Amino acid sequence: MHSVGLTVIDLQYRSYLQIAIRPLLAWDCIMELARDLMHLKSSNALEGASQSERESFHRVFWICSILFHELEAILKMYPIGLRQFHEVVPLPLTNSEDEGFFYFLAQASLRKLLTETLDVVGYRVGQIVYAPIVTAELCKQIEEWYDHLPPPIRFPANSSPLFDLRKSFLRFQYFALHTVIYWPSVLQYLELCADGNGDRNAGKMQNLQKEVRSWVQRCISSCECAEELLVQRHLGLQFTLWA
Amino acid sequence: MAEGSPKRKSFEDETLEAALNPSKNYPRKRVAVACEVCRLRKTKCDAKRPCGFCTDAGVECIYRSSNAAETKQSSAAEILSRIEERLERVEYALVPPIAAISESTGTPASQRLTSVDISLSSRRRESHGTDDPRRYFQHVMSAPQFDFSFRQTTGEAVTARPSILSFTAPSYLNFESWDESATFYDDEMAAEEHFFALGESCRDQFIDTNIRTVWQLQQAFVFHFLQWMPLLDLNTLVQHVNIAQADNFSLSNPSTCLCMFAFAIGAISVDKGSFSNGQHDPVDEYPGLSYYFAGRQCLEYLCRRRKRHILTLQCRILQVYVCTRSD
Repeated sequence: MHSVGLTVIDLQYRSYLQIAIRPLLAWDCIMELARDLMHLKSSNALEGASQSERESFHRVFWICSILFHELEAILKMYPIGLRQFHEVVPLPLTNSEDEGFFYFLAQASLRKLLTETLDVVGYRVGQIVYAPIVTAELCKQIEEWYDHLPPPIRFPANSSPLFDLRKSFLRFQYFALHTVIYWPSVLQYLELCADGNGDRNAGKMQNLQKEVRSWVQRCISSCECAEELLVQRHLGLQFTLWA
Repeated sequence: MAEGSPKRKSFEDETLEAALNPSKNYPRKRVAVACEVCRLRKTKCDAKRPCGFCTDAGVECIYRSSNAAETKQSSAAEILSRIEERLERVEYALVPPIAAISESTGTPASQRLTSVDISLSSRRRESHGTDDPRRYFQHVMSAPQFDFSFRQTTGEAVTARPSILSFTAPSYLNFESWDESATFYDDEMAAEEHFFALGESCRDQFIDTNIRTVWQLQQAFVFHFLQWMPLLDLNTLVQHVNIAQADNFSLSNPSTCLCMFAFAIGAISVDKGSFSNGQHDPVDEYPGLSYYFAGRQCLEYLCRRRKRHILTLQCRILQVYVCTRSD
């Protein structure tokens, strides 16, 4: 079980090294950009703007947010509050039934869910530490996200080859997000095993075992999906999920 | 208010009240000593042991010793310690019902969802024993080891999470911790300098803008970037390329800026260098480098004048993107 977890990490590391070679430079630029976007959103500038300008702004915002959070996870830097704006900036609209746009919307909403998840899993306020309720709720949310995917970018929830990098990247993140959500259960399980308290909490252990098992499965799935993604250079190579 | 005696209102208040409601306040119906719970609630206490309210509520009725009530405590530390004590008592009074509910669920926050299959309880609760909920509360409330160490995020401080740079393994994991952040940042800073040095070397290099190349790079950009991140419509892109072309890609033209970054991304995307392990000329190693630095030059100029204009913002996104993907 350890080794699967490490393979995921190793994979993140390698894919990262292969692709993101100027993260510091990128981080400098995106911080500035994110700051300016927040200034703009806080001002009246958008009120006076035309519809198309506003739409463009929304696109810029969400692309910025996606890139920003990818980098944040890689560099382990502190967020500057961009995610507070997720609620007030609508997802962009489109007239064309373009697959690229579907992908982008799915990616943006997944990113939104992801940043929320990372804030909640293991979160302290309200003392939710290893709370199965959180796990259950987050899983529900991500399943909802999956259920609402429009047909053009719908992917099968297994690791069969897709030959569509965008779908494949979404699928990878879908699996990876599950591994993030189940991670506290894994720690809890290991801790109980280490304590030797396992026998006392048979029912609980059983439940935990179930969760850990699905964690392992998701880990394996994400590795398998990552293989398909890693064969060439494209946009979907930021594998680092948690910050 | 820190003085643990809610009944003892300020003198002015009392006289005012007495003046307004002489009949209500007289004769005094207060008992000499109210129990702690009634003191806290500012309700009338019948001074029985246990008193009526506490009996009804099913909580333990505590009276402070008369000495303690009399002593005037004034230093901040003393006042604080008394508040702490009181809080502890209140928590203690609250505990029995909570403990009963959370028997199967664990954290207080998860109480409400008893219907879901949740037998997992919180690690903290576990490690501090279910038999002493008071200590559990104290532990949770005081949060002593909330160790926001360098570059540690909120969730991580509570749930040990591995990342590519560092991982602090909890003792029970029986696994090594690592922290390679410093090395990573060293390398990155060195690489950045190298990158700029290369940029200097290609400053006056010829920028290939012949129609065929432009078309190919544009196509690559659409395929590898716009289909993932629809930053702008295809038509808008084509317009910008036309404008820039008409202006012979003059670096003072905003459209040129957008084009340069788009071409840089296009050039990187079609490059197979890092996957073929071939030998490279240092400048070839960075496909699209000349476009990138030309774009930067334009952008500097643009930012001075229209930093937050939509087109400038779009250029800036592209610039970031190039930085995350250049090899």
